[in-house]
Amino acid sequence: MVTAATAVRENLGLAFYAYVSFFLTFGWAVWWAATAISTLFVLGDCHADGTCDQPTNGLVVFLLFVSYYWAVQVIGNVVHVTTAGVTGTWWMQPPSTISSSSCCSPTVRDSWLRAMTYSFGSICLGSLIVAIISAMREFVHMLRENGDSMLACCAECLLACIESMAEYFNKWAFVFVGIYGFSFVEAGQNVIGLFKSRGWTTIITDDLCDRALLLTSFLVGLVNGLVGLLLGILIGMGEGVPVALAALYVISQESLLYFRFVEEKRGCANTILSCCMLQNRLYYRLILMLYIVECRIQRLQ
Amino acid sequence: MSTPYYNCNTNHGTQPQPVVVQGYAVDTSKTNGTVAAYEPPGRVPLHLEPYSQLPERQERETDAKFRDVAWALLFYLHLGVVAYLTAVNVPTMANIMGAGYAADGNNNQAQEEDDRRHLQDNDNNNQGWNNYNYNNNNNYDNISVNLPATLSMVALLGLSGLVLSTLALGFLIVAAETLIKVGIVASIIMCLLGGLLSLVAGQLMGAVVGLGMTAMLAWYACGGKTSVGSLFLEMEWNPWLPLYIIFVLDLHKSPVLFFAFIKFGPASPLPPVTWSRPPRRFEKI
Repeated sequence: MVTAATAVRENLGLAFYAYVSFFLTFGWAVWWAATAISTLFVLGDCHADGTCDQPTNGLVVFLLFVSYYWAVQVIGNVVHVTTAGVTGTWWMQPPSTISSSSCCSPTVRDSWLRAMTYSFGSICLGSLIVAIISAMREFVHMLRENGDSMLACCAECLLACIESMAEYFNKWAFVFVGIYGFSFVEAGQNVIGLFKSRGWTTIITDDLCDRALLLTSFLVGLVNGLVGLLLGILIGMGEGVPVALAALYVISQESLLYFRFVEEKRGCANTILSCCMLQNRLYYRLILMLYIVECRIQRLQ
Repeated sequence: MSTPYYNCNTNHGTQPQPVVVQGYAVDTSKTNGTVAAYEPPGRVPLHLEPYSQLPERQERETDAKFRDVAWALLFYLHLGVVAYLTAVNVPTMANIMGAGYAADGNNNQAQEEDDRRHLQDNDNNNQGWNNYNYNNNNNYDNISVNLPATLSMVALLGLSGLVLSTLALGFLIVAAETLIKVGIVASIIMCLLGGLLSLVAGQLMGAVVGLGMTAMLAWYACGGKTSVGSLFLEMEWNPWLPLYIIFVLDLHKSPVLFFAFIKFGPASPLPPVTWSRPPRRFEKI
């Protein structure tokens, strides 16, 4: 993660894409919501009072969910692949030979262009797989709201697990896409080979990064929530519990927002781990892992 | 298919294969190829063998060409369909809603008279909502929102969020290691709190999981302090064991835990939701 932080510092242009992706996701959510509501309204022959003559078509709802999740995944993964490309270049070349401190630097710009052109199909394919799983989970969740059952509950839990695993797998596959420009299938085969040959230690290392990032996200949310609380009291919007609840809501939302932003940093960490493992033999991987363990535990003492 | 470095066989060449990033060969004369260049000063360098001693990499340079084109086209097609649906359905819905509201305005007064008569009948019969009186000026209909203040607050929070995010990114860069350590300690505290709260609430399963994870994380964090911990470090895999277990538990989010909580959770399930209050249009006297 220290190396990932260095990569981010020397490629700050990536932050621009992270911010843009957030606003894009928000804009897409608004657009999709308008489309989904109006489509279901029209297809159901609904009236202004909310009653509908036709039952809701399940297939249409499912496709709408797929559409939503697909675009969201694509937006996020474009940033991830861009990050992987920039970090891969940074890893292979010393900073003196490249310059990527601005958002329009050649390294960042070229990596983004490759993600939006050569690798865009791979991004769409990987994102579609996760989107279908997410839509199925959402669909089952809706079914549970209408009539819950143990079977539906198990199905939703199972789909949630598959969704998590697919997202995790994609995260690594897109690193290969970003660095080497592989197709998604090739990248997937390489990820499986990587895990087979290098073991699951990477997962643990990645998990530690996530903990630190999540903590930072929570701290940002907490501080901004407290700012909101103070502002609410100062402006006189309310007092006591209502303002505190509003502040808590802000805390949670801010945490999610910021976690989305630092995912870029997590992408850097993944890329660096991949580069390290790919480039060096097993012995050096062990040295790196032991070094990380040693550093962390020594710092805890 | 391109073969990455780690699939290399036993052929040890004297010259390395070119490093390829996104299909472009990187000038290896300018390549670090090591972690050492980015290590903070004072660390044990993770320097690696020179390239001449590395096994031959059999990677084939990938061509810079479009991959999985059909899926990209499908995505654009999907966006086109969404745009078409928006253009067609949103105006249709807006027209229906507009016409409906216009017609509804004429019917509202008659509906309210019906409600009032219904309430009076119930009062006379001492049945139904006899303790409630119709009052159109109830609390729910009179929620006032200070719009300028709300918008100001949202704008200020957005601005402060942007500033805080930027500062936090700088903090992440400067204190990445500290955050990892604090992250581990915070995980221990959270697990401990979760376990204790579950214990207080009488949820045995939650308490066992929470306290067990606390113990494992604490053991992991303290492992390096002892000679046993150092031995584990030398054995390479043992320090990770607790986190392997945590990962397996975590992998889940988790059918096992979820099912366990349902099965062994609160002894008395929550009471079914019943209609215990009148509609919001009626206010208690």
